[in-house]
Amino acid sequence: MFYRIFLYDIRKGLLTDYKKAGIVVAVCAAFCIQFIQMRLNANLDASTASFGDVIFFGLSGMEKYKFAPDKPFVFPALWTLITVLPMFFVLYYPYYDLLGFGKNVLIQVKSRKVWWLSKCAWVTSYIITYFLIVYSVAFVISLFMGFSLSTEITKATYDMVVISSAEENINMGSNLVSFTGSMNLQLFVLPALTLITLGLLQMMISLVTSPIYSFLISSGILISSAYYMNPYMIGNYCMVQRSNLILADGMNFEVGVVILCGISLFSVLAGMIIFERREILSKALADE
Amino acid sequence: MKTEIRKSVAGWQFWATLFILCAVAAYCGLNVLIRNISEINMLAAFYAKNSNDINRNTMSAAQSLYNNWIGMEWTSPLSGFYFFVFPFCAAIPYGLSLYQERRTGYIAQMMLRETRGKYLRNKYVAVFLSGGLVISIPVIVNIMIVAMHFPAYKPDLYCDICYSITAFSFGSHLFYSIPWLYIVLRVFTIFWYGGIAATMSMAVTFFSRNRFVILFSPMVFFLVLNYSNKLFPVTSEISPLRFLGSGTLGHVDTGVVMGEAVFLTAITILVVWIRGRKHDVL
Repeated sequence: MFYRIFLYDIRKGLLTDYKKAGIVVAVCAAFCIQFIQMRLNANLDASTASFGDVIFFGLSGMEKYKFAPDKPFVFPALWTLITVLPMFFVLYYPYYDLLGFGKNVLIQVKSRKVWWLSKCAWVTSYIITYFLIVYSVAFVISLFMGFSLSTEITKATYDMVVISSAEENINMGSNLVSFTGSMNLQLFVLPALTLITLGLLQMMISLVTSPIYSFLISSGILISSAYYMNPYMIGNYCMVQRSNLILADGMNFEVGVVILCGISLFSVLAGMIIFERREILSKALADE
Repeated sequence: MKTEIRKSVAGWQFWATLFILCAVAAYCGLNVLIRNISEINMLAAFYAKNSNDINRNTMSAAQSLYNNWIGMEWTSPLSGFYFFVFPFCAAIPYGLSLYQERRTGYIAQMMLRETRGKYLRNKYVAVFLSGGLVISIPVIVNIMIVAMHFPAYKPDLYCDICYSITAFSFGSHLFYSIPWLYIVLRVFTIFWYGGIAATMSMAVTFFSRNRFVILFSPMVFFLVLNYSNKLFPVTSEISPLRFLGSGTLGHVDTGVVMGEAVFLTAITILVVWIRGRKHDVL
């Protein structure tokens, strides 16, 4: 039964939602163009870049913020856009489904657990699809521009993204570790895992409050993560520039996986318990 | 008009959002206060030990109300957050009202009692006011909290490194000459942009039937605008998410702030007027 509901969710909440893929493609194309533009401004040969460089640039985030009287906290525009968009995309389908046709599905399934687990699987699939689109667009543009299709990060891009930020923050310069060029797990696993965790947490909170306020909380977590470099501010795992392969006191992959899986598990279980006890019939598809 | 305005500020969404934003603004204010008190204690301890130290520069003008309210300070993460979520929060109280009234058929009842133009005008004003108020009232609360501790020293040009205002930027002349008027101008600008964000969601009602799309469209629009600032090399800050608060060291041009506000207001009015006139309520 789980698979049938899951397939229904994929069809209703993902495949019929193809218009949003256009927004993702546009955002991804924009940051690829910005990357090419920045390389040209830095007099770097475009053909020496790699596919990994493009992803590194898009998900780099910002350097560790240290408060100084002459240094305002400016949240990273591109990173914020890339991370906030999927949070918005996964926000309302479960809510609409529950208050609409989902009630009939629930009656057919005869199990709230199955319904909830299916929605959790849907959030996971949605975020994975989101990142697949981002990586695919970056891949196609890399192919088109004649970049190397390697996932290694070149020294020139590392200097352009990390060293230029570190120079602005003298205190951070000494904190950098020697660059190895290979960050596949940080580029391709952690960002998706972080947003899946945040998506599940957001869905769980929306059961308690409402989707609107749960979105406020998840955006708050993302912005606070940009401000505080702390292992419990999970947005940090999504910022490649804050990895321990870049910063000596940066985010550790293993710790990240444990914390993210722990929060995901908590969200799924807590959501299941809350949903088991929640009154859904009295709530019509009315406005909040 | 009175009824619409009363409805716009009477809903629980307005009060809940106002409460959350006031809490954020109060946190920012208290954060600045606590940080300053600990700095003062550190300095007092230092001067108690070094009573003959004559190199005392208190930089009083930098420790001023005008430099520590939410629109000018960047020490607290929530001050950045406040101006990051403002388009979304502005739309919560009454941005969905047109959508709700269309869904429930209430709009048809109203159309029978007054003209379509009058209804849309009243609705527009109420949505604008609710969005503006919910964003600007917490800023005023923050100013009041900060004013409990910081005296309103007039900003000094010799301390300009401590201010987030670059030369010839938006209101810089006023900031150094009549600072209280500068604060009034900034709060008014915040109010205006709050109103714009709320009316933007009202305008989107004519294009979408999804309440989340309606509610989030101002935020997505301002996020894209914020990113455009990086994508295209423009000389002055164009993103309200940055120039409404203190999240920028770039040049904030008066023409851009005012021009953008007028342009976006005109666009929302045009959309509501043109689409609203043609839209069949039945």
